[in-house]
Amino acid sequence: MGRVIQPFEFVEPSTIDEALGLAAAEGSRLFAGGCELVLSMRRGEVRYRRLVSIMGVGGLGGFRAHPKHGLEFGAQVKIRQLANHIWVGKRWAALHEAIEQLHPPHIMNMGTVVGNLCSAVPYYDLPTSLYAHRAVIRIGDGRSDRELPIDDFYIGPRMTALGRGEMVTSIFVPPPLADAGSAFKKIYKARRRSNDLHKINAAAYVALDADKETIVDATLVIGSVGAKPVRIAKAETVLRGQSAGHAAYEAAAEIAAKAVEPMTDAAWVEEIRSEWIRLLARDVLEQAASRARSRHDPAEDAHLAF
Amino acid sequence: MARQIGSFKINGRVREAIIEPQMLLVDVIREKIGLTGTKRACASGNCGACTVLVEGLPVCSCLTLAITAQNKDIRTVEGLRAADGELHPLQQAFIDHCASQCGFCTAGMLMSATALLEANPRPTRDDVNRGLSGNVCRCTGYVKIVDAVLDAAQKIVAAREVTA
Ligand SMILES: Cc1cc2nc3c(=O)[nH]c(=O)nc-3n(C[C@H](O)[C@H](O)[C@H](O)COP(=O)(O)OP(=O)(O)OC[C@H]3O[C@@H](n4cnc5c(N)ncnc54)[C@H](O)[C@@H]3O)c2cc1C
Ligand code: FES
Ligand code: FES
Repeated sequence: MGRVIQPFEFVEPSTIDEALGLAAAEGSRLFAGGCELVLSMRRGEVRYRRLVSIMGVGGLGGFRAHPKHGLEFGAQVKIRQLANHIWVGKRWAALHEAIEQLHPPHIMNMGTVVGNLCSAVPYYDLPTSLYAHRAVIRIGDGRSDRELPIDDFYIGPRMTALGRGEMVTSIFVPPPLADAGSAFKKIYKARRRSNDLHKINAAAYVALDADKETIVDATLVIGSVGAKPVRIAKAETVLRGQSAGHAAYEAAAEIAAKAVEPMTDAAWVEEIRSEWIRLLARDVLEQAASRARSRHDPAEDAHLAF
Repeated sequence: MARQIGSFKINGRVREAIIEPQMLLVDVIREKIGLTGTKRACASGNCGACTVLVEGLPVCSCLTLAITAQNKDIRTVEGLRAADGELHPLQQAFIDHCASQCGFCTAGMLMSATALLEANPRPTRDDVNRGLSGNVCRCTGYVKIVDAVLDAAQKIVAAREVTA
């Protein structure tokens, strides 16, 4: 266990322009809550000459959650702020569940949601849940903003679509339809070696028609199976228009298990992991639909939102 | 590189120490400020032995750069005891229930439990399990720790009702 981190310079700019200018230099890196960076520096996996804290930059701390207008949070928003918010729990249940199951809970008080996404670590949970909610990433370069659907944010193993001189300024999560629900689940085993592939997570979003009988829209995402979460487009298409029942979820789960070839560390593991995918896909769809069925029009309690 | 004087508000007192940007909060608390109650074990955020409260919330001091914790309200296990030396009800309950064996996890457990009881003075057994889920103990098997926290919670609430 390495005890020391190699020395670096730590700067705390106050504007986005300044921060991006400082971070553009070779060996520099943006720094938010720091849990990811400190751990990987301490392990000696990465080394930086300069860390540029964004926690003092103006305009990155915004947070708004409204059942009709959506969820929006800036790059400084700690996971804890979302965990404590009633609307996140009610309307963005998959995200809420992913947060609730973070281990250890201390991380909620230290890390930012944006930092979790930008780490691009394949086995993290929050990206999977935000895929299900079809989040939009807002990227700034100090002058203008561009928006990217989360599906296009990861371009390879540990790689995001962020260009040099760009950062994520905020994330927007659209409001779910009136009769919609979502869910997140994960399965993991104890790791025996540090490179064990130990986890699979899944998230779903299901929207029903006004009679709550027919599926009108669905998202199904499996994570921790490759470089980035995978949306099961074929299952989503099959679900649309079907009557909301057990058979539909079983069929979709079967498609998911066939569609994903999870990375594995040993041959015998593949079979198990495919079964995990099937079970998780079935259960998140079932739970999301059950939540969709049991909720009432958010407009009725929208006045409580602020 | 860049040595500077860091100013920390620990347990209500301002303490200064010479720090460098790469120093971890746990090392500064233990080695520079001399409060060795906080422990460093895994240094990877997995065990909770290094738990301290920053602005009232548990964080892993092993994953926190000291430089970022300046001028924030930090509490360590040394701050639990009252000024007159009387133990905090949680500390007393840990003794009464034999909830500490080797003691390496105890400081972290006490800090997570403190944050839990401040947010939720009447926790259920489940609440305590969840509140302590980031703290690992290799000795006790947890039952006594949870018993102790529940007992302390009752005593704190009862004492408050007497004074009210
Ligand atoms: C012990 C431990 C357990 C964990 N368990 C889980 C878990 O169970 N599930 C889960 O999903 N996650 C887990 N995490 C991940 C954790 O949620 C993230 O590490 C944390 O949220 C990262 O946020 P941060 O603010 O600390 O990021 P930092 O460490 O500050 O930054 C992380 C990366 O993102 C970049 N970055 C940060 N902000 C921006 C920005 N605005 N624009 C561009 N790039 C940026 C940084 O340059 C860096 O590369 C765990 C982490 C630890 C240390
Ligand atoms: S030493 Fe910090 S969590 Fe283990
Ligand atoms: S008492 Fe030994 S680790 Fe908990």
